[in-house]
Amino acid sequence: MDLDTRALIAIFVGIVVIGIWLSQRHGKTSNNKSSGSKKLKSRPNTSNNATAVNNPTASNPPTNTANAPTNPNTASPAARGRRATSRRRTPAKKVNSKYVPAFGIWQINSSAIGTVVANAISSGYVEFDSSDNYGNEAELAVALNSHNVKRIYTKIDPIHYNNIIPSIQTAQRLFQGSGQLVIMLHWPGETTIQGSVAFPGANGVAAYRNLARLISRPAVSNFGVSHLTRISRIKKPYLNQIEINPLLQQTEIIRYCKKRNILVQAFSPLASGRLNTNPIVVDIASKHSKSVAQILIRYAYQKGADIVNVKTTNLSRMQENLDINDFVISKHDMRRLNGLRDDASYLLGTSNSAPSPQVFGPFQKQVRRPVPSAPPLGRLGYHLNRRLKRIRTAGRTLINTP
Amino acid sequence: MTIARERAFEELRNLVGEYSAELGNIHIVIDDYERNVEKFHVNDKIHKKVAQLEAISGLLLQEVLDANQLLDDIESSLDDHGATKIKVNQLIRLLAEGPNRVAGAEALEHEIQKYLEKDIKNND
Ligand SMILES: NC(=O)c1ccc[n+]([C@@H]2O[C@H](COP(=O)([O-])OP(=O)(O)OC[C@H]3O[C@@H](n4cnc5c(N)ncnc54)[C@H](OP(=O)(O)O)[C@@H]3O)[C@@H](O)[C@H]2O)c1
Repeated sequence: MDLDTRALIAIFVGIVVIGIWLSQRHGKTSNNKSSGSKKLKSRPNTSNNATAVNNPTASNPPTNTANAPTNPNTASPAARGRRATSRRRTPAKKVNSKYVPAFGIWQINSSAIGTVVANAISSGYVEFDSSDNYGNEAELAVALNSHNVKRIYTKIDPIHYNNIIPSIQTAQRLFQGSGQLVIMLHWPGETTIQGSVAFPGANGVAAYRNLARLISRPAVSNFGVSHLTRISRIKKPYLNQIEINPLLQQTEIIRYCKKRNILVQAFSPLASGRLNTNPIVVDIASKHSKSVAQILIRYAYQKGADIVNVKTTNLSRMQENLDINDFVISKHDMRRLNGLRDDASYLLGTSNSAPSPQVFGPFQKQVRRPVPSAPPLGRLGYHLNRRLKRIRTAGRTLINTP
Repeated sequence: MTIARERAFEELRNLVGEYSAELGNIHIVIDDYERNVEKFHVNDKIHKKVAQLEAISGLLLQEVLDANQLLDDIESSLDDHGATKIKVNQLIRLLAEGPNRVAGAEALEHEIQKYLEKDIKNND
């Protein structure tokens, strides 16, 4: 072999060696990469498993949604998953980049609802806040019938376990096709208000459990941190509606909700007119050439509310309450407003108390309804069998009665 | 439609309401166990049993939902004997499952209780 040939062979061998080395190196990196991506991919599975263990019903959702097939609140588990992910990605603040308060209908005479709602819609309100105990919800549904608004918030009472199902169904029927429906538990159920038991028998946890099973965005209202912590074990609520104004600031609840991406909805931002002549609020209002109401609505947003409910039956006030996007309350003025805090819930007429834990105390331990002793089949089974017999008899009567 | 039929229907609706209220007791049981499970860090077996209990209560809830739907259907078909008969029979068939499920739930409940008692003793 001459020198040239040897040199050529050496170069060839060199190239092959470098080639092998490079390909091995590449293999390693891609292996690393793929094992890394495997890890990332395996994470959601793990968490899915965790969810399945923590919330066994997640793997066993009710299959028949015939009762509310068209409602956006009911969704397939896959769709729920998709929504949950997109919700997690969407910061709560973005929901209202331009603040448009929701229109509250509490204390509006049912005979006036038609006109008031028509005025509200023409003024620019796209969200409505209602409840099954405001006495005007059916009228709201009629008024919204010909319009498709963005969202309707409604509340149902956690009076007793079996009331929840018909209440949900009624709300879904009422607002079917009128807009997205958010159903919330109005308060945490049986509770203590200033030391004494209120709403005895109302099982908030059981009611929430059903709500969370039946709709994809279960929401709550007047829930404090202890309640939220408890029900989050079942499913994180979509939203918590609470009173927020300078007198009752709810900082702890807001912080809790923000941290966990639970939307915060404020009610009674105007504190029932108790700040109408307050010199600090009046001063800030005149600084911005705004009304006291506008300052207070803006305050609730800047405090962290994602949605603020306001109610008025007056057309010019409706427009005024929407005109809150061309100014910002400065940090200094926010501090001055924060200084007005007295922790008085105007709603409950109490002072030095806020919804949870002082007003709505922690969940009460529920006691099983006593049933008399029964044969070994079991107390409940025995009673259900007896009930079934009576249902059969009533059914037969219904069929056989002319 | 006659008043007698209307009354019979009301009775049916009330009874189904009571039936579903009794199912609510299962939720209280689950709630009880959830508290204990947290307190004592009980083992996986109990988690599984509670999960089964949850699943049963989910089925019962679905049955109550379906029963309410059937009641609505019956109400709207009260003038049509044939249709009412079919729906009433469907309702009874649907609810007939309830007592068996509840008996199953009670058996689970009993087992969970036993585990819990053992666990509480061990933790003492
Ligand atoms: N989840 C709950 O437990 C809960 C509790 C309470 C309320 N909410 C909801 O939140 C909504 C709002 O709360 P809210 O009704 O208690 O209180 P709000 O909206 O803070 O205040 C309503 C009162 O302020 C007056 N008002 C409205 N705009 C005004 C303005 N620009 N200037 C002066 N006064 C004005 C209204 O009178 P006019 O109508 O005469 O204008 C009404 O008397 C309710 O409608 C309800 O939907 C929920």
